[in-house]
Amino acid sequence: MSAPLNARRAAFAEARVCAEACGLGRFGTRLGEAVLRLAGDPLLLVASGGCAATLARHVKGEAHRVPLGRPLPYALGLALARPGRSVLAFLGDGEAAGPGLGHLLHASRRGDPVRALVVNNEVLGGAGGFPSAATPRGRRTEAAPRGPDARGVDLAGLALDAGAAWVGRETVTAGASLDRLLAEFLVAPAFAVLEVRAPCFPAIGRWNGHESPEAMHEALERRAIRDGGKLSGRDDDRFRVGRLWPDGGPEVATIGPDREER
Amino acid sequence: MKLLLGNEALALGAMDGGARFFAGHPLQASAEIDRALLQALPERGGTAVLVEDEAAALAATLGAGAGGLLGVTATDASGLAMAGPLLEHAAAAGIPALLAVVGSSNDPRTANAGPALGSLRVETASQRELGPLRWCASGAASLPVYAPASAGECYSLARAAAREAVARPGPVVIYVDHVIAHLREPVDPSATDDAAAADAATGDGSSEGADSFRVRDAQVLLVAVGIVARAARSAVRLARDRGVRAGLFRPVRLWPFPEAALRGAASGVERVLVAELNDGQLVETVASALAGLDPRPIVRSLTGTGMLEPERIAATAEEKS
Repeated sequence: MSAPLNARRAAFAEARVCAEACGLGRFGTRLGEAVLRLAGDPLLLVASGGCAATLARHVKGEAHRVPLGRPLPYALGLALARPGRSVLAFLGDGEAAGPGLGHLLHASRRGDPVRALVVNNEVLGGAGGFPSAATPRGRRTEAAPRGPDARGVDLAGLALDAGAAWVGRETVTAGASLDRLLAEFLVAPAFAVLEVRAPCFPAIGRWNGHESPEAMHEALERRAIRDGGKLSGRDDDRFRVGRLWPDGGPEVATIGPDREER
Repeated sequence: MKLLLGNEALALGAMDGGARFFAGHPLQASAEIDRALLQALPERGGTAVLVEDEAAALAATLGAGAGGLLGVTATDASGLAMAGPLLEHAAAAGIPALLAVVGSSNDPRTANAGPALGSLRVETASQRELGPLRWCASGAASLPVYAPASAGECYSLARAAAREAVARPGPVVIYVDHVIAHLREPVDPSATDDAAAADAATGDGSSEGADSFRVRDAQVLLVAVGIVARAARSAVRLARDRGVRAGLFRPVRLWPFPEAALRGAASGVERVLVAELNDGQLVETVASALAGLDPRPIVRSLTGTGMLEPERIAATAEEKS
């Protein structure tokens, strides 16, 4: 076996140790606390696998595990069978931008009685650091040293364009801003989507020049566009955060399922 | 008494068996099931939705099952190909569900097309899903799969299967080739014997998951399911008219295969002929089940593309080698 391959395998083994440097552990705690503050029956939680599913462990509710890519249609059936109960689906970017992308768009256009929490770590972390379809163009990953040539899927943007009633996006380190958005999301009109950007440090962060998780998170905040800032159509490394509308900007007070009302 | 398509009878049986939820993605071969459930379920207080693809339909059906509503969905070979991980999950998690699989056309020009393109004809009948259905839950488990051969049986087996899905609990599959699915025949729900249907479905009773016809003195045993079994029944009569004592063994429960019942029916026969509309997906199971018989009958295969007519089946059964 060649030395570079040995070194590569050693790096791979090291990368498998997840220290939750993405911040999802802390976010999960806050999510769990936010859910506890909700009135009503316990949530129905639907998740498949990967990092997104680990979030469900922090939340009090009735948990359902399903095959990869299928949380949303499963959640639809569950919600229709139990009207009046809140259903929260957990999606990773790998499934939401891959086998679950069609489900995300159709749930958005139909207005399924479900809320979807999309955990976007910008990489297929659990699969060994391959790019997901949501990995920004050119971002190096553990298993793709040059990064993808294709543009990354804008998950929140697609849900918005497909007609979701409520769409938000925040960075995992946004603190109070994320807390406010999360509280709003948990009681938002369905179909609601909250995308949380939380890059995986071992699988993507450290392969792009960030020496520490803190440095990666600082860079993440610089990529976030707040307060109605403009987004270049050519720059898919940056992303708007907050409650999202087609024209951007939190000055719009109400949103509804019909685009004309926004 | 109602005059129903096999597909319509299946939908009615599912509802009478307790299905209260339907999610579907319409496909030509199974469209009548979707139409019947979309119309009738809301009238019965149930819920019916159309979704974006076959996997979504099955996933939503499982979600409903996990939520306490027995769900049903219908698909064809294309949906069956997507169903593996979901069926495996449902079997492992014990989620009740009824999956109707309608056989695809064997017309290579219009593999998944339907009446509008003229491909759902007897001449294009196919049973290429027989083998895949055995391991349709990603190979992790062999689910109960039932194969009706008439509209009346579509009703009774769907009703029994729906009840079995709840009793197990877990997914149960009804497989109908597209000819049976589109035969319009009399169906009398009030005359259906629940106990007999359940016996036929589960194999718990005397029928042992199978239907036999004139096997007691048979020297040649035909094995067939669905529309081929009906042709084979006529072939039995043709062969006997010509002096060859033929009999028919029809698995009503396709998977797990009713091997004990087959061995009972095949005991003492000289030859077994497995007739199926594919490249031979059932014959190995039959041969394996009969391997321990003494004397061991010769097992042969009659396969085809398009319908196997009674005369052809009878002529093949009469051949001694």
